[in-house]
Amino acid sequence: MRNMRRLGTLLIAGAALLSSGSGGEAQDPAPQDRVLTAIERLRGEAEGAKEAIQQLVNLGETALPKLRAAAGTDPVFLKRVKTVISRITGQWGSDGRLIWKRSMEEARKSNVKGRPILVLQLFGKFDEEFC
Amino acid sequence: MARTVTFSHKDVVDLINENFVPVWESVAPVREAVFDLGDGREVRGTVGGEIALSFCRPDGKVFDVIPALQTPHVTYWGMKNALEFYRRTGAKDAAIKDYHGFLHAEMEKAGKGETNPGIEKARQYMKLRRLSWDPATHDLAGTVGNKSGVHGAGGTITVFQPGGLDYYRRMIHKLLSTKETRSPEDWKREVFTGVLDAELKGGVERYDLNTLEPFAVIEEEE
Repeated sequence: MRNMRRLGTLLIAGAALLSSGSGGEAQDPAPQDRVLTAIERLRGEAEGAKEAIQQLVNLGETALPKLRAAAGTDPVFLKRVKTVISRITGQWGSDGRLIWKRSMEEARKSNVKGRPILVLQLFGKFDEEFC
Repeated sequence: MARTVTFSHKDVVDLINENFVPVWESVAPVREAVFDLGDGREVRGTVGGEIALSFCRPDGKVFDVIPALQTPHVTYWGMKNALEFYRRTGAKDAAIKDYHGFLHAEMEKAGKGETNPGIEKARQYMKLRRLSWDPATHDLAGTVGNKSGVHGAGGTITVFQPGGLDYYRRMIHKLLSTKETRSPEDWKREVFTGVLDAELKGGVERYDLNTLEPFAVIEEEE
C-alpha cells in the first residue's frame, strides 16, 4: 500500500513535468501575471474576491503599480481594490506611495539605514475605513 | 482625515519616504456612537479622533512630537525641524532636554502658547460636557464636533485646529525638557490625556432612542 502511494506520487510528479515542458516554469506565472489575474477576480463573486484580496496582500508591494492602475466604475470592485491597497500600505485611502510599518518592533528591525522613526499614534486602525 | 489629507500630500509623503521609517500605532479602539432611530435607520459617527505624531531615534525613544491633526503645511515644517535637530545633534538625551527647554523658555518669554480665557472656556466646557450631560447627548455633540469632517459642498470638508498648535507645543516642550526620554507607548497617556485632553478609551456605544425619558409630560385636556 505504501509503495503504491509512492508510485502514485512519482506518476503525478512526472505528469506535471511533462505538461510544463521545461521544469515546471509554466505552472508558476510571473508575479505581474498573478497580480493581473487576481485583480480580475476582484470583479467577480464575493468568495473568489476574498481569496484574491488575500493573494494580492501576500504579493505585497509588487502588486501596487497594477492595483493603482486598476480602473472601473463598479463601486464594489473599486472598494475591493482600495481594501487591498490599504492592507498593503497600512493606510486606508492611500494611493500606495507610502508604506507604513505596523509596530515599533517591525520599524526598528527594518531600519537598516539608521533613520529616525516617525510614529503616528491614533484611535482605531489607520488601514481601516473608520478611525 | 489624517489619511486622506495630511499623509496623502505629495510633499509630506516624499519627505517621509526619503528620511523616515513610518509606523502607526493604535492608542485605543476608535470610539463610535450609534443612534438607533428605529425601522432599521441609524445615525453613526466617530467621537474624538485625536492623533499625535512622534519623532523617534532609531532606538525608539521620542525626541519631538507634533500634537493633534495639523495641516499638511504645518506637518511638513514640523517634520523638517525635527529632522534638522536629529541630524545636528543625534537627538542624544541631553540635547533633547536642552532643545525643548530652550524652546519652552522662548515661548514663555514671548507669551506664546499661553492659555487664555477662550481656551479655558473651551476646556471647561468639554469637562462640564463630560461630567454633566447624559452620555447620549455627550456622544452626539462629540460626533458633530469631530474633526473627521463636515459634509457639504458636494464633498467632505476637513476641519483642522490651527489655533491649538502653540498651546499644545508649549506643553510638549515642557514635557520633553523635564521628563526622561521614553517610547511613544510610554508617552501616550501624558500626550493624549494630559496635553490633548482626549480620553484613552474606545468602542461602540449604541443608543436606542425609544428608551429616552421625555422632558415633561403634557396632559391632554378632557
